[in-house]
Amino acid sequence: MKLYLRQIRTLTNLSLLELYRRKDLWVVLILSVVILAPLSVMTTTGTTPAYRTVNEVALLLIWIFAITINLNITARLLPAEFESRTIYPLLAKPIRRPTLLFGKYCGALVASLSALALFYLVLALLLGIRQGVWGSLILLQALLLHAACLAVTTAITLLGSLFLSVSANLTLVALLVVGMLTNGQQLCQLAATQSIPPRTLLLSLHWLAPHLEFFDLRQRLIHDWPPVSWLLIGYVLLYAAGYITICLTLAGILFQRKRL
Amino acid sequence: MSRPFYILGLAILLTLSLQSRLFQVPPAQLPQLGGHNILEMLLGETRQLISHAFLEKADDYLHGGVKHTTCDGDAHDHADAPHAPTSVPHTQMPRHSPHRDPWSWLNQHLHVQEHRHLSQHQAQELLPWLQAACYTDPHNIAAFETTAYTLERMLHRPHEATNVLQHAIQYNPTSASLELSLAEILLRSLKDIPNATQAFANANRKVQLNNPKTYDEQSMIKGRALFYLGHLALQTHDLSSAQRFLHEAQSTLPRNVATRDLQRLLDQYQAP
Repeated sequence: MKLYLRQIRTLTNLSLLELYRRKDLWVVLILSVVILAPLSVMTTTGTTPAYRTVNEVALLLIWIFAITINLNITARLLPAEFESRTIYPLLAKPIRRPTLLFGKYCGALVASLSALALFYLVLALLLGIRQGVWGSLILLQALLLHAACLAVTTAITLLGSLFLSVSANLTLVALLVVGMLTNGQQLCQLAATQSIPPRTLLLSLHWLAPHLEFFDLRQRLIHDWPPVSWLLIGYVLLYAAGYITICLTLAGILFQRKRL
Repeated sequence: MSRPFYILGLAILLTLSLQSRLFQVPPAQLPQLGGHNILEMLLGETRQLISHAFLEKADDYLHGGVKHTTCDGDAHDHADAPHAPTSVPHTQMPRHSPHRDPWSWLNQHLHVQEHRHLSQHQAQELLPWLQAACYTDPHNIAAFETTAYTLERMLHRPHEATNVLQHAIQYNPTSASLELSLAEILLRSLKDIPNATQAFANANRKVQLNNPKTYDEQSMIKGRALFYLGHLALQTHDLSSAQRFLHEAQSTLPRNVATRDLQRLLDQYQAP
């Protein structure tokens, strides 16, 4: 067990180093500051500035950049190892394929979550300095669910990287993310108004596709709605855990059968 | 110095010399039309869609971030109390009952379903989206009127509201609706009778009743403008002008409510 955990920790550290060495995170952070700083000091005419617009833009940027970093890191993890053939020395050591897969998953997830934590820290500072709101419960819930969302997308992307090219994987997962975030709530209603073939497709999507909109609490955060009950948060996290388990199990089966 | 630097220097000199020559070209011979908004050149007709999207976003903000299909008119008086939409079209009812569909159940509880209205002091939050809607499409009259309404009624800033409408009138010189909105603000909030009278007269002059599609809206504008003109004329004891306005209303809008109200006003004025 100790050996297993040490292997996972080593693989995780490698992915973290990869993220910070490529400087993707710093580029995104600088871009965020460049876009948010003018918005933060912008005031419409009047004595009371408009906070909700700035918060909405900030959260949209956080979501876009976090997903971009997550997909970029995860989609290139295994293909890069296959191309440069560094997978062989890794497997030559007594690291089993499932262990390697899970280690890569943890590495990509930790790297994405570190970027996410940085973004939310900047957002919390923005909320605190501009509005005097420090450490609200709804912000914590939003961060928790956003992290769960990244865990799900990491698992899906890792599964895709085993049988798709990097560009195809990135494109499909990005389409899935955007599609579910914008239309996931309305799939049932859309299906009800369609004829049988598209209705079947939409209902299949509704039941099988990952409902990433469950993890999106921006509306509550921006418009000062009360926090969600912790029981509901628990249900969503359970859903995320189930989906991740399914994706990683399928990825493990594919990786086990893959000829290197 | 190497050759590329010489070439770069020559290119810069050439650009600067051509630039000074371009300014000497008569405007009529320039390839583009001067004075056009850069957004109009880049986006074309798409800016109307974008402007409409910004206006819808402002409406979402008014309702606590929730898109709503219908809302009672009275509900706008209830500043903070959340309420559900008054009706959902039958075609939008999902086939699956929420109780048998755990995903829909989760969505309904995670995402806000009812909406509430912003209180007056929070109406500031609408301004960025309204300003964006006005800037993106200067011909979006609804955007300008909504901005003026928000500034005057919700934020109690009538001077800024009149500035917005005057700016809108520059881009939409034939719009009677904008003139009427301006006139009402000048009269109601600023008590500026002379300018209000002028604006009501402008609205009356710009009304077009020959289009069946817009007849209802235009007749409402004309009726209100004539009513206010008659009312303001009576305020200054100018009976002949008031009768002239009533005559115009009776000839163009005989069954309009405003015509009847103006008649009643004149009768009360003339009664012993």
